[in-house]
This record gives sequence, structure tokens and C-alpha cells, in this order.
Amino acid sequence: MRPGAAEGDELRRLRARLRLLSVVFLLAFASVGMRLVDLERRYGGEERAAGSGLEEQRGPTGAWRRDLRDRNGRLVATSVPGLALAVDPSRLPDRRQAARALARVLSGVEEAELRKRFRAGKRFAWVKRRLSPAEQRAVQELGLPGLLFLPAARRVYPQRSLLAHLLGGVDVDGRGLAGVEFALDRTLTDPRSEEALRLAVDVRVQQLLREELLAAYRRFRAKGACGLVLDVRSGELLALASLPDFDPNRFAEATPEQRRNRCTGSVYELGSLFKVITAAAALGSGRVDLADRFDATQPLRIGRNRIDDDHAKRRWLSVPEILAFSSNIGIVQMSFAAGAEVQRRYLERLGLRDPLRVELAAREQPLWPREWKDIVLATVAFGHGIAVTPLHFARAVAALVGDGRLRRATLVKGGGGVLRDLELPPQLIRDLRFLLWLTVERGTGQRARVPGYLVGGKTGTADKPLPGGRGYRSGEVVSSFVGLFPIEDPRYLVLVLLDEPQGTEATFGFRYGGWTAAPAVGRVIARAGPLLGVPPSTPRARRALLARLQVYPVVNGRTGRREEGFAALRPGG
Amino acid sequence: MGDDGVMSRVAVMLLFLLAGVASLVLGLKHEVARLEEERRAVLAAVKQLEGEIRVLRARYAYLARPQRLAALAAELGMEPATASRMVALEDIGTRAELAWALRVVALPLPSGASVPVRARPVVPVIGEVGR
Repeated sequence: MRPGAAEGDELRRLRARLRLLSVVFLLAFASVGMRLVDLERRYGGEERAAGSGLEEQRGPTGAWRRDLRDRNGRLVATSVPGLALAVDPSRLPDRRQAARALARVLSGVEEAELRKRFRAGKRFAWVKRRLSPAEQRAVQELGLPGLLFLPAARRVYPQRSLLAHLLGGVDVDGRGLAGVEFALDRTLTDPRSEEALRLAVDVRVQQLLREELLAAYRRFRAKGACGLVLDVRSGELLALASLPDFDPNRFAEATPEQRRNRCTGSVYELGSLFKVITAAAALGSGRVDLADRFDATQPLRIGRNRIDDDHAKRRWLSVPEILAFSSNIGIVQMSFAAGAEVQRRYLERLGLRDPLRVELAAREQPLWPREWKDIVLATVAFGHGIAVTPLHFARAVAALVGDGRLRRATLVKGGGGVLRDLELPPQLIRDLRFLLWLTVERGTGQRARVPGYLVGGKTGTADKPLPGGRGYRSGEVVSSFVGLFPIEDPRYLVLVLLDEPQGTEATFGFRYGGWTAAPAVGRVIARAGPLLGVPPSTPRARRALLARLQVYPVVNGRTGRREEGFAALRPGG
Repeated sequence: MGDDGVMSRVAVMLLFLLAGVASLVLGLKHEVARLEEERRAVLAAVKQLEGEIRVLRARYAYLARPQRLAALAAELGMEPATASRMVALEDIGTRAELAWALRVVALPLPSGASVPVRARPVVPVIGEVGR
């Protein structure tokens, strides 16, 4: 090989290697360049957005809660997405100026409060927890750095104050504070279930109950009112209203008086309503018969106490008449005839001593007599000296006049259940239905009569006790009425209670339950019955009740006639 | 051309092949990233729409609240049903019974005149109860 040719080969080889090397470098640079393009495409946009400090995604504030629907699927509570505004004060160029600017564009935000929150050294401060779209735009236009728009679930109650006490409300963090929202907080925030929870309430029935309750509350200038509709056969509450009430969308603004649920969170001495239970105990004991008669010619004296009638007839009264005319004198004698043990046992078996189990935050315990002296037995017979919530009482009457089974009252559809079987003789249930029908047909509850339905019920008017059990307030009463329809086979119970109603010209100044609460119950029944598909009572059912009236006549008159042979007052034991 | 030249050409070709495959992989990667982004955008849009649906449902529930419907129904001259307007199916007369009710028969009176009479259908009088 020539030396020149060898050099030429060497040179070519070198060139080839250089070409290869340059290709390798080219590819290496190209791959680095492509990687840069890749990185820019993948992360560049987000870095730009984060760099502006305008939006930063975090976990939502305010728990996401399950929707609540009524028994027919109507939406009553839902969570909707919203925005909350926070700020990183350390990134604000001028905290004072930022506070002023934000307070100017946001409603309900105070500049001084913001200045306090934007203290130096803090990295996070809330500005507003619920931001409207217009406010969001206005804040964005301020162009401030360090602002954080955070997703925040907001609880909305489309029916507004209609279901106030039933639903309750939540705080800004979405925690239940009252009503079903509090009682079922864990169920409603369970992330495993997104399905809406069906409540027992029927918004149509709730609407008409609240409307009638509100009308009575205003007409009689009452301090408060409670109304409820209970399904006798299932224990489900189709409606529950307490007045005054509030808008659950603005729960924080409600006063303590507005938040008070009078149906479950307050106990009352219910007065003559309790005569239903006393009559059941007396008749159920077998010591009193529907045909028995009791001396109501003059007030009863027990020790230093005198018991008299509001609607005094001053004559002997039969058991049906005692109920129909709501005679205290008569019912006390019936209670004494049955005895304290029987009376106590009935009250206990009817759940009137138990804590209330219902899906609400407000649940008051009954006030039970400390000892059962004669005077206590006498006053308990007509609903004084013992205090229960209206729901306690409604549940007990539904058991007595329904099928003899005490059911758990519930606000959740299908949530009821039998607590205990009272094992009442069917004849006793029939007698009680007759007595309640009689009270509406001929007695103190006549203003609850409804065309088309046979209604049974009982009036109640109770003096309000002084705190500490030091007697009763003069002139302050609780008036109430409990009604059941159709009484021949009860489906629904309606209870209305007015706290401290005032008489009107139309009621001749009377504040009795028969004048104030009974008409409201009658109107609720008249409107709710057809809505709930309850067929009108048949003439045959009416004839059957009228036939019993022939056996146990009720005379609405006063006589001075005294009857012989009555066994005098027998204090029971 | 020697072995070295062939080798270097093969190497260059392989490198170009490698570059081609790399750019293909990169392209695929970008496509995946793009689709991923698109998926995220669709999910975000779905979430936003779900939120909007929730707001609309709440709005509908607000507009269809019984209080408002009752007021609108009253404006339209509608009124709630009463118990006296309800009747059980078995209480409604049959076609034959009702046909009798429509038939007018002339009843001769002792004076010689006649009055038109119609049969009353055998159905209970509704709304009689509780009056």
C-alpha cells in the first residue's frame, strides 16, 4: 500500500467517524429539544396558571351531603357547587388596601374584620365562604395576587321555611346543626352512598298543615304552635311544623325562639288530651264500664285541692259524656276506680316515660311525677302534673286507637317499627274510637267536624305551670286538639297545639282547644284526606256509630238531679 | 469501500431508525397526553354540568313548591278536591242502572194529567256522612 493511499483511507475513516459523531450529537440535541417541547406541553400551561396566583385547586370546603327528598320524591334539600374565597396574606402587596377593595365588592364582609384576618405572617385567611358568580367576577377584576378560589359545597333548601324544624340546617363547613341534618349527619355524609334519602314527610300535607297552623297562630296571637300529621299504621310523620320557624338557608340568623321545636323539643302538660289515656286505662282495667255513671254534680275535694269542670254540667255523667264534655270531676273518679297502678302502667306502656326516639336533634324527656299521691293521680287523669312532648302523646294515642301497637315515630320513609304490642282487647279499641267520635259529634270537639269523614278527637286546654312546680300561671294556657280520621278505621292522626293563644271576638274570648285548635285540625283533615287518597266514610260506618249512641245516650244539658247508689270517691292504690 | 465504511453506514442508518422510532414514541406520548388532557377536560365539563343540573333541580323544586303551585292553581280557577267528590268504583252505578235514570216515563195522575218521572240510580248518596 502506498503511504498516500493509507493516509487517504485514514482520513475517510476519520471523516466517517466525525459524521457518525455529529449524527449522534444531532440526535442527542434533537432528543433533548423534543423532551423540552414535551415538558413544556405537559406542564407549561399549569405552571402559567399557578404562576398568576388566581386559581388554585384544593379539596372542597363544606362536606358534600346526600340529597333529601320527600316521600313522593320532591327535592327538599340538596348540595350545589359554589366557590369560597381565601387569600394568602403574605403575597398581598398592601394588606390594608386589599382589605378595603375586597370589602367594597363583597356583601356582608367588613373591612376591619378582613384587616384583622390578614395579619402579617399568616399564609391563609378566609375572605368569604359563599361567593356569588357576580362577586367572583368582581374579585377577579381587582387583579390582586395571592387570592384562592376554593370549591365549596353549599346546602340549599328549595322549600325554604316549609320544613324548617324537620330539616334543621348546617354550618358553613356542612355539618348538621339541627333537625334531620343533625340526627342523620353520619348517614348524609357517608361517601359510600350518593343516593337521595327518602323522608316520610309529604310536602303537600306539610304545606297545608303549616298554612292552617300559621293561620291559627296569627288569629289567636299565640306565643308558639305545633302541628303534626302521623300515619297511624306505620308511625311515619307526614308533616311536622313548629312556629315560629326560620329559613334553613339562613340557619345562623334564626333566633333561639325560632329554633325551638315545640313538637319534640318542648314538654307540655297537655291537659284534657290525657283523658283519652285515662279512659283507656279505666276501661282496660275492667273496673269501669262504658255504661257506668259518675257524680259530677259538684266539685271534687282532694285534701286542700278542689277539682272542677270547665264545661260543668252539674249532674251525673256517663262515661261517654265524661269524655264528650271533658269532665275533670268524672275522669278523676274513673281514674280512682281503676287505681294508680293501672294508670301508671298504661302511661309507661304507652311510652310516655321513655326518651323520644326520632330522627331530630330536639328531643325532650318527659317530666314524670316523683310520687303518686292521690292528688297526683287525680291531676294526671286530666293531664296535669305530667309533661310530655306532643309527639310522645300523638304516638300513644295512635297506638290506643289504631291497632294497639306502639310504633316508633319516624321521619324516614319506611323507618318506623313496632316498639311494643299493648295487647289491648279489640272491644277497648272500638270503645275508644266511639268515645272520640262522640267528642267530635256531640261534645267539645264539634268544630273539628269534616264533611265526608267521620272524625274522632279530643280537646285539651291546660294551665301553664310556673317554673319549679310552684303552681300555675293565671291566664296562660296551652290549647290543643288531637284528631283521627276516618275514626271507624283510623289512618292518620292530626295534632295541633297552640301555646298561649288569646281569645278573639269570634270565639267570644274563649281560648279552649275546642275553639282554637279543633277548627284547624278539621281544616287539615278536610284538605289532607282527599290528597292522601282516604275514601270518604260510608253511611254504614256512621250508622254503626249512631247505633251505639242509642245505647249510650249523650245529653248536652245541665240538671240538678242526683243519682243514688254511686260508690263514693275511692282513692286507688 | 472497506468494512468500516459499511459499518458506519449501517450505524448511521440504525441511528436514523432509532431517531425515527424515538420520534414515533414521542408522538404517541404526546397523543396520549393530549387525550389525557381531553379526558380531564371532559370530566371537568361533566362535573360542571352535574353541578349545573343540581342547581337547576333545586331551582325547579323551588318553583314547584306547593305554596307557589297552590297560588297559581287558585289564579287558574282550580280548587282542591274534597272528600264529597271521591267515590269508590263499586259505588258507581252500572251502565244499565244509569240508563234507567235517563229514561223518562209519563206517570198518570188520578186527575187524568200525567207527570214525567225518572228512576233514581241505585248508588249511595255521596257526601252525606259527617254533615
